[in-house]
Amino acid sequence: MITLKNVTKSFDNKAVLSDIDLEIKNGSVYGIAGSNGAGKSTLLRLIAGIYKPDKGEITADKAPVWENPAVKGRIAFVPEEPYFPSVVSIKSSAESYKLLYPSFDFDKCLTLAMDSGLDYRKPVSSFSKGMKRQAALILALSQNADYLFFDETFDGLDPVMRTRFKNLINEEVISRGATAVVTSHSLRELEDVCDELVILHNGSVVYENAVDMIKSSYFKVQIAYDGPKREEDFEGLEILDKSKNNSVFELIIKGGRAEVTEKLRATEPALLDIMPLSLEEFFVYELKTQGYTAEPVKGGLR
Amino acid sequence: MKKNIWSKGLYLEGLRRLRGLMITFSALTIVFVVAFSVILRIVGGLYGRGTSGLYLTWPYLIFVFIGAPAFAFKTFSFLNKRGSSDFFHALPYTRSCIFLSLLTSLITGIAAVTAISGAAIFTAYAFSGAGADTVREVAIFTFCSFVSSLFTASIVVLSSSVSGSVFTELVLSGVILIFPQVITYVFNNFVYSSVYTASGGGQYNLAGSMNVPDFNNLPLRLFLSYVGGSAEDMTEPFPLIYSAVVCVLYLVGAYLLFRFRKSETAERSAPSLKVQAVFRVILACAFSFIGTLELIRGIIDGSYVYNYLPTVIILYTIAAIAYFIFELISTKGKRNIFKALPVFGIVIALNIAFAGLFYGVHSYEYSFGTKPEQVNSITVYAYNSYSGSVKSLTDTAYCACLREGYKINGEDTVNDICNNIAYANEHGSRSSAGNYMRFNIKSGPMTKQRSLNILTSLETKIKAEIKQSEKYKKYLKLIPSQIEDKDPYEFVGISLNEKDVKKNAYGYEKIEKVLYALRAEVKDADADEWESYLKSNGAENDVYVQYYTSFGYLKIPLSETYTPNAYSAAMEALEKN
Repeated sequence: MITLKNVTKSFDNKAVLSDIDLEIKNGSVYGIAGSNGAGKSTLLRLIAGIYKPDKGEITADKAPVWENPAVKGRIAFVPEEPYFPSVVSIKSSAESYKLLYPSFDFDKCLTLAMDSGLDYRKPVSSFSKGMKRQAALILALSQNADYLFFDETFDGLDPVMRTRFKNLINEEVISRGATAVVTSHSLRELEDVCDELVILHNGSVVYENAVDMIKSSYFKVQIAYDGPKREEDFEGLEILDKSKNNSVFELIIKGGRAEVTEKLRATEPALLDIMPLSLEEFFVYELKTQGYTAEPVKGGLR
Repeated sequence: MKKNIWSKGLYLEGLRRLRGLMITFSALTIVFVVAFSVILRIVGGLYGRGTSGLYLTWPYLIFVFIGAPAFAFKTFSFLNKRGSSDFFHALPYTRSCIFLSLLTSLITGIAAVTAISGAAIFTAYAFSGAGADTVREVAIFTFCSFVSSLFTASIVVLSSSVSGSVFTELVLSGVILIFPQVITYVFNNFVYSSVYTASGGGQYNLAGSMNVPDFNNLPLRLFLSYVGGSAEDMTEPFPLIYSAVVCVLYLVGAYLLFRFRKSETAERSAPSLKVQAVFRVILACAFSFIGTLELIRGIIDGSYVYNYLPTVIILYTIAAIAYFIFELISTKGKRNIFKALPVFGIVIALNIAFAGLFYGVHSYEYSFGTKPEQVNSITVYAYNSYSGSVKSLTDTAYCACLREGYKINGEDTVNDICNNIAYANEHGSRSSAGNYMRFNIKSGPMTKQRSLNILTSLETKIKAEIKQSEKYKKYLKLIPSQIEDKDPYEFVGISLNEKDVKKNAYGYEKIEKVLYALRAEVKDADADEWESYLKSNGAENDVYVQYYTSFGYLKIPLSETYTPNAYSAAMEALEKN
């Protein structure tokens, strides 16, 4: 388990992460989402032992990550802009990885490359952006690391490859008990692959929970009535957000689906539609509560 | 070795990174050696040393100043890109391990290219049938080239450990290369101009000892030995030791900086805004300190201040441009120029402080005045090096006394010197007429130094006193040989002339025979008689020994009557010529 305690990181006296407390359990896939500049990449680099926290402590199975080769040997990190020790070919890079990571599986790397349709003898510099990311993912997966960190790695992949690599990561998690942490701007990406979601905003963790919990506990409700309705009619429901569009109320409600449905039906609506909240909608709602909203353009559309 | 100090995998990866450069430089050397050997064989030229050093060892020079820095740059270039920096800092090794493993690959790479180049050069010389001296010289050059390469590489390693961009790395490498020279230049001139007693020309040689980086920088000496063709310079051990020590210090500094270097420095000019400001200040001071030095020297020089002004203005302009251009290029933001403006005040403040220190120390040292009754002793020196026209041993002996320093005994002379100092203090140090001389005045526990123009009458008095001294008589009878007594004569050449036919006799043995005879004759001569002989027999004498000294052109007349043995030896030498 990776544990972060009161972790703070600043650049040029500007705090990028402040007092982060987080536990990343082994054998799961964590998704880290957040507003722009929330500190997602910084957080990933901190837990990969690349950056040193200004304050606080980061441990993996109770051993410090920073300057600890034993722990870092169990980590594979793929940055947003992948780096290859050799641009000659994937094979040449794999030779470097073999020298640098004792647990690196050279044959696995070549097999994965072939299965992905990448020519491991071709120069990496001739690859497209997406192909480079695939190559970086292959090299990282071949490290057989216990902790796999991907910084917006899936954003440049086509849907087929995205699915393939998500499956490969899931396979690592299931077969070897590996732990994966994925950052992304696209909540859709995380929804498919993550077990847990962490939302960062302004350098702080504003939400952390299981993805299934969000899907089963948060609902978006569209409800309309023939006559006027008062606040008291919704009593007993945990309404997180409410808006009205003509006669249709749009509610975000937290609770068990059966219980919520029953209570809303009791209000005798003319229209009732209960839908699970997507991660993207949850993200927008969660950041709205933090005062982070997309303000309408002043003056509106002309 | 344990994994947390050195890693074989990282070491081999370091060598993989250098592979291309190693092949390129080795191939270039071999091509050069083969091509040049063929050309020399065809034109029948010299394999050995020409005016430009040992011809075939020229690739060393290229490698020292281009190859080795490129190797160092390539080895640690990962620090300049975020992706590569993250990759290396994510590796399962400590920072010490990363640095030491890559450093050993760098040293191995440099050693390998030097060895391959050396082998090619030695082979070429072996085929040419070069003598043992040439082989020895090539061996010395090979070793010196290796140490010099490590020296230039260590500069790049040091700068890469503290910067995060190629531009800053290049600028810092330049600064590290020249800053010790700038500091010693400024310090030496400061001491020389304001505290002469502590300078190399004075009593304590403080400035002289600070010349170490100037004269013992091995890459610089290597460069000069190629340009100047003085390969023997490389045989001196001290530059080798000095450069090796500095190289080690640079690498230790680089290691410490690397350990504490933040990975996020990649793609940034400096680890923090403060360090960025320090870079700018050092860069600007490298130029502005010399400007301030020249400015104060100009002010001290009084009426000559206008001679210094153009240099001062140019140097200050360069300092300001370097300061702001560095900020503009390294941070890629026009706005940063304005942000950098306040810190430029530190550059100005440092220069004002330096100017104040310089002028203050100078004024303090030079405003010294004393009363004769407070003086314990006064020693008079020639100001700087005496370069007047010298024709006779009488002049040489007088100059030698002044160069060594002559302690004034005459009470009357001491009074006159004190009065001259008082006059100079009142009217400005340059308001007296006459020659410039330097006095070390011991008053109580302090020794102060004053350099001033003295009245002609005072110089005559000093000269008269010196000419009565045993020291003067000693120098008067000192006939310098070709290999001994170089100081204070520092002789360069010797010849025998016969007035009418201008016959010259050269050659160690012939000349030494004349000098030996002359010395034996002068040794037993009465000093006063010898002096009057010298005064009455000048350059118009038929036969004379002629020296070129640092004082000027010196001739010692030989005569059949006063120096018969030397005269006959000289005649014999001339006839045999």
